[in-house]
Amino acid sequence: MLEGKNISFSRGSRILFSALSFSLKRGNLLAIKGSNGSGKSTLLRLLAGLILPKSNTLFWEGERVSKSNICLYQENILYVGHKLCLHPEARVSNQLQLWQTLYKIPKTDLERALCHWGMAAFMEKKISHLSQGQQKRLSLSRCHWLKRSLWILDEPEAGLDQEGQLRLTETLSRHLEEGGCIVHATHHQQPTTHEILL
Amino acid sequence: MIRNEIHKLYLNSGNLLASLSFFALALFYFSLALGSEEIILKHCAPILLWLLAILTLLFSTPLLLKAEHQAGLLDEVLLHPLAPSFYLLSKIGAEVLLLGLPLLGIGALFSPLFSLSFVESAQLLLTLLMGFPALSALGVLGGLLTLHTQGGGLLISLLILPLTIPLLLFALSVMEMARLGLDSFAPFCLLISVSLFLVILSVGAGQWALRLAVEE
Repeated sequence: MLEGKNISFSRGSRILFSALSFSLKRGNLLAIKGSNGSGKSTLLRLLAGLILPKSNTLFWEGERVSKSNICLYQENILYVGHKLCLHPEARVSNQLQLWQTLYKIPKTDLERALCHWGMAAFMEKKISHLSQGQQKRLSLSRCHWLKRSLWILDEPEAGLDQEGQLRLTETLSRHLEEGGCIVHATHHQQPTTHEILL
Repeated sequence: MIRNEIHKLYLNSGNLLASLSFFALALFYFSLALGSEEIILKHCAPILLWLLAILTLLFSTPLLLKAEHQAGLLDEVLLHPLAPSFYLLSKIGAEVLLLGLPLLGIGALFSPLFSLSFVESAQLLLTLLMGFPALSALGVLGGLLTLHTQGGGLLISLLILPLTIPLLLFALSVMEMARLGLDSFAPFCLLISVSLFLVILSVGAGQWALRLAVEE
């Protein structure tokens, strides 16, 4: 499904990672681990196509990901990074409207996802007034309505309370069972099918 | 996507109001400073209105883009199945609607202070309307190019402000020829052409600048 061959990245003279290779099939979970500043987020952004691979070393369903077909590749990706892609000036209900018009998703699907993450009671609250954990829950609610096969998540458990982490684990497991694929950066010890240590 | 951009701009109504207030106040102060000489007022009105519109659009858009970038919303644009050019065009369209049209309204409101007749003020506002898409597009491009720089305003002045000169020249030519009773159709067509060219140029370069800004 997703294959990386000899992925390297350097910033200036500093080599963040080099010659990384992996191969993920449906139902696989790749955990990227490493200390702070080791390049986990950069690798995830590279896998999400937000940084273009310079040496064409990424393959999706056997096809090389390049500048010309990056949009097709990105149609399969759900990316939740450190920046949560939420409009700080919006209320939660406004954010739902923005998603609804941008992704043409029925409102009921969005509300159901919000209920799952325990955020239904905060519909009229401004996003900038929500706690970090609540913002994370709102952002992660995309996992329920944005039907993408490859999830790229940057420390998804960060900021979540115990209940939130349980919901996250449950959501990830369900996606894997349904044949999806997940790449995530994490500091937690949990069962994975593949692991990269940076 | 344009509905989305209008919604986002509406959510930033504080910034929008600040820009409109700057335009209105500056126009009012200039009308006071220029005195009551009708010829001077009529002469200065087009260049003043255009300069203030350029400053308002070129320096308000980068602020909005910076906020969007900090929230990660530019990542979302690149990950969306629609090409980034649609996002840029939607942003320009939304700005013309929510910032450009109110600016025209303010311009119309203040035109009596510059002793402009109805026809003169209509001509002036029409040149502004034709120039707004280009000014907004240049503001977006400037904002994306200076997203990671401190004191981006100065860079925008150096990089983007010179590109507005042809717009300004053709708009002033339209007004001058109309004032002299000559046919102003040719400079008006040139103004539209330059505006269109700048929109295309800015959207093309903006896609590259957007990727560059997100990759940083």
